[in-house]
Amino acid sequence: MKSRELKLRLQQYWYVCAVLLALLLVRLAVVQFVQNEKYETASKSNRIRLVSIPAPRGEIRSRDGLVLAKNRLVFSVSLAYAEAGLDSTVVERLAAILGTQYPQITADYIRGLVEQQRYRLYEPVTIVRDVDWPMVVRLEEQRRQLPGVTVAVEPLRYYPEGTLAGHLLGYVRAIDAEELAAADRERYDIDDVVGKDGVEKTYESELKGNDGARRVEVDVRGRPVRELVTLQAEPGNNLELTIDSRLQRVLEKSIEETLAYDQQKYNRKAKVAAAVLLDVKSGAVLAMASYPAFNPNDFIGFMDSATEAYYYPQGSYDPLNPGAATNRVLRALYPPGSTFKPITALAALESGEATAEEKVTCRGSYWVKPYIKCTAAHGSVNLARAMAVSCNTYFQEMGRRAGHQGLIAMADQLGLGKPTGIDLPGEKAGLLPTPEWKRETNAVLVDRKYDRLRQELEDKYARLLAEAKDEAARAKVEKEERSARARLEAEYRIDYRFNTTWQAFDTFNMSIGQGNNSYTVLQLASYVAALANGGQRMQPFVVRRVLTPSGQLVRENHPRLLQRLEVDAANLEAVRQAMLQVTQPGGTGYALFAGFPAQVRVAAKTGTAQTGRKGDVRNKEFHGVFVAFAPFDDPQVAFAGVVEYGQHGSTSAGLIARDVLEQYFNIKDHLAPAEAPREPTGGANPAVPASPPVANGTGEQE
Amino acid sequence: MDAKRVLRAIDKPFVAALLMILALGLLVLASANRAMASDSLFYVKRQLVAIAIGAVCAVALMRSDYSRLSRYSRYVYVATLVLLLAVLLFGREVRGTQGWIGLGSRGVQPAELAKVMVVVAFAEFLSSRQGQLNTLRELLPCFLYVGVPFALIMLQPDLGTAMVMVAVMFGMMFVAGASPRVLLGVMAAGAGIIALALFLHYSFGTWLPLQDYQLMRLSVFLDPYNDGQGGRGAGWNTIQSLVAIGSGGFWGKGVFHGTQVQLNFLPELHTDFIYAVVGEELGFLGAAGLLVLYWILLSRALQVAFLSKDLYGTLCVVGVATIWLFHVVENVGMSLGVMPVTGIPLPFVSYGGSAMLANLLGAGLVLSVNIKGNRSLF
Repeated sequence: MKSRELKLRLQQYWYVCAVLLALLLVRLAVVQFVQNEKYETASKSNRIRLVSIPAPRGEIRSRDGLVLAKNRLVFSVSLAYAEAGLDSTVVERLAAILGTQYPQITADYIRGLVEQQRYRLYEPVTIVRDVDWPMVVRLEEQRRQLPGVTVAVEPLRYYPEGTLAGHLLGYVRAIDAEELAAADRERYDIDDVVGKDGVEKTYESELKGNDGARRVEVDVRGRPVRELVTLQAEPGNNLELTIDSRLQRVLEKSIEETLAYDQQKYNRKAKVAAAVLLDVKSGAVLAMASYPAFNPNDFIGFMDSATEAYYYPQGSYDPLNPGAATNRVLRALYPPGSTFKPITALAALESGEATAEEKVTCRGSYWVKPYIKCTAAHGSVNLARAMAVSCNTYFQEMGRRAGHQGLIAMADQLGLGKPTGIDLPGEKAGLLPTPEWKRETNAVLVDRKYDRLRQELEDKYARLLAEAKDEAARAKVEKEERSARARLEAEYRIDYRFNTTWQAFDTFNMSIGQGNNSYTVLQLASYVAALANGGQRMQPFVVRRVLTPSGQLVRENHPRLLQRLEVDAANLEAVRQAMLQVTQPGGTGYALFAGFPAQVRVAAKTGTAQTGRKGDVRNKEFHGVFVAFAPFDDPQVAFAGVVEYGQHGSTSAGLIARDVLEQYFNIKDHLAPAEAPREPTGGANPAVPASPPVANGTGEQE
Repeated sequence: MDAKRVLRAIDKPFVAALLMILALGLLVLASANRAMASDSLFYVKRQLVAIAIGAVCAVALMRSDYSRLSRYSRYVYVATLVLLLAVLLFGREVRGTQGWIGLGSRGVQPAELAKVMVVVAFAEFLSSRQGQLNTLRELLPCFLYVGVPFALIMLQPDLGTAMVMVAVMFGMMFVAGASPRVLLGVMAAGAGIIALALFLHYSFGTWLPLQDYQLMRLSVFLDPYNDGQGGRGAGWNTIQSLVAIGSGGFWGKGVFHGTQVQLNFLPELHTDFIYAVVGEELGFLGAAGLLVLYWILLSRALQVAFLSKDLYGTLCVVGVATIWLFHVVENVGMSLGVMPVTGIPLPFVSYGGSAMLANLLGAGLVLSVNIKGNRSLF
């Protein structure tokens, strides 16, 4: 081969080398310059993970500093590095160990949890929270056989006082899909908990805080290598309630004892009670309790079926298992019974048709149809006496004079039949009957009834017409039908007018708190507080202050005036005086407060309400209602309470009022360690007989 | 011949480029090593031992007269076949390829050495047929000559190394004066057969020497995210390599600071994908610089080939250069996502004793031709 040709061939070969290497160089430049940004991003998303740091939820304390809701550090078991794939032997082993204590945890259960979190597997998958120490020890002992399993400490909501103020506090639970969709996505994530009821719900945005985040660099197996940036979590704000923990405790203790007493004495159905104590000047709730009791801790983690049945009973309503989930202070409606009578009195005085001193003679029943009976023949009574003995005749007469418009306007001014706007969720409005309400409700009922009757009539004559033998018989049937139709329509018109129009007896029923009236216990307390403080209806509230974790004031709930009563001061004073007579000798509430010192005089009103429930014996089974305020001369607190199947106001809710007022005014310390066995009497004064507190059993049913 | 004359005759740019490539290789290997092992110099130490052994052999080869090798070419060829047979019979399988002989981790890969040995033998085979390489009939023995070791390597199976054999064969034959038209015809025919075989395989399921997953691995570089696992399967290597190089930018992230490397996102980072370490940590500066060094190495080798006193020397050098060229193009191309992923190391840079030894022997051969065959010195 000639040297020239060799040179040529080597040159060509060299060109090939040059072109190939040049192509690589071009490709390198494209990747490193043109696509640099794209790969830079890819490199970051490869290795940088955002891990959220949960913000501790704010604490809730009572007015006197007792912690009612806080965060407890618990051990939780989780599976890390699931991103790199699940080791099935580890899963089986973990399921076997945890399964000894938590039967629901199986290997498939764990796999299901991992699957649920499949887009966030760089964060550990929590398998179970709040495991006990022996379990932690068992897991740690087997650490080598359980790669990826971690036991970490994390905050969990905890209510150290259990049922104390449970309904009021509410509870937290994992956010559901609906709430998440409505929530601020900057603050809420799929694994967050959220307040579901009570203060936890109303003040959710204060308590929540802001989750922090860590930017973590991870390696190819998802293991954290280094922390890049950390955004600290901002803990939620703390709440200071208006609740006094000691009063609250006494209230709950008294409810429990009273129910036990009433169950034994009157009715084993006495299982439900609700009561509230308000500061009359501000509207602040000093104590609020509903029974059966509510323990927010029951709502953390798994709820067993027995607990679930306690809170949410299935099937039709059973008074022996009424369900504990409802805060009955503001979600149950009760007829006020005689506790409505101060309103009737005030309306009558305001109408100018009556004076406090004017006497009405009671002969055992009212003299106007339908002659509603009184509990006794009270004779000639003025306002003070009528209130003290709860005379139905007197108050029906007062109701008649005030007129239904006067009664309704007064009840409306005092906030009955509309929500108070308290800072708790789920408050009911109640029902203050009005002529409009009666027409709307009953028109439907009457129409429905007569539509049915018309149909029956038509069917009947169609059948008779078919059975008629000849023309004459048919004509007779047709004639009968025409007259029957005319009769029915006439009846309908009468019935319709009667049932959809406000009748005199509606006014009478209302004036003694019966009929369709139904209100919440909170509304009763609020109206009594307005009478007590001279005519200012304040909005009830349960949270006094919102504080930062370091204790600085964020905001304060100031007392808020809802309505100033437009009544004559003298009239108001006359009604208040009359309520004072209830606790004086001869009054229906005398025995309860007989032991109170002279400077703490109590104004009150007892009440008895028809239960209106199917299965109850009418005129035999009653709810006991009681309202009160004290001290009479300079009122500080107002009370309202209902004890279902408590029979009399004074022997049920009245006992609760007495206990909590004794505690409030330091007359008796119900929390003293060496408490004598409960006697249903005022313990402070040995002069009070140790017998049921209402000595003469002054009934007040109509 | 005394050291002074050697020093004067030796191709200094070639040696300088070689030493710089070795140095750069050790640097990035140290970085890869840190990401992989607790002993932060484990691979570096072993690589240094391989370089030392290779250097001694290379110097010995350089100082000997390469033309004497031509006399033993037949024995070299037989020895190659024996070596390749032995690895098939007694070898150990590593990652699906039966390519290792020896104990423990201290084995050797005969196929690496076989490349250089085939060059030495084939050069003699071709130079003895000088001027008789014009027709297909005259070329056929050459194809058969390389075909045997090629087949043995395919049986391991080691597709990458086998393809090196093919490239070496064509490169040497072209320089030896074979008819370009016939060579192109054979290449086209080969490509046609492969295309037909693939077509038949996918259409009718006919037999292929490769399993489907192997085919998938070869073709996935075209669309690495479409590997059936969203880029976490066969496409992972290509993706992570591209991310490493692409995120390196102009200056790179700095030695020991490549996140793809240090956090182990990059697979096979000390062997097959070491170029991605260069690209990420040393940036365009380092990666392009390395290509330039290879360019100098190859250019100077071709200059040596041109100056060789005989065709045998020329062909030996061309053969060695072709091995390097093919390795660089395939390895760098694979790291840049333009070549299929095959286990072909980057010469003088990838970790691996056998490859290092073979490449240094190749360098020794080039220098031997450079010194002993330089016509200007005689």
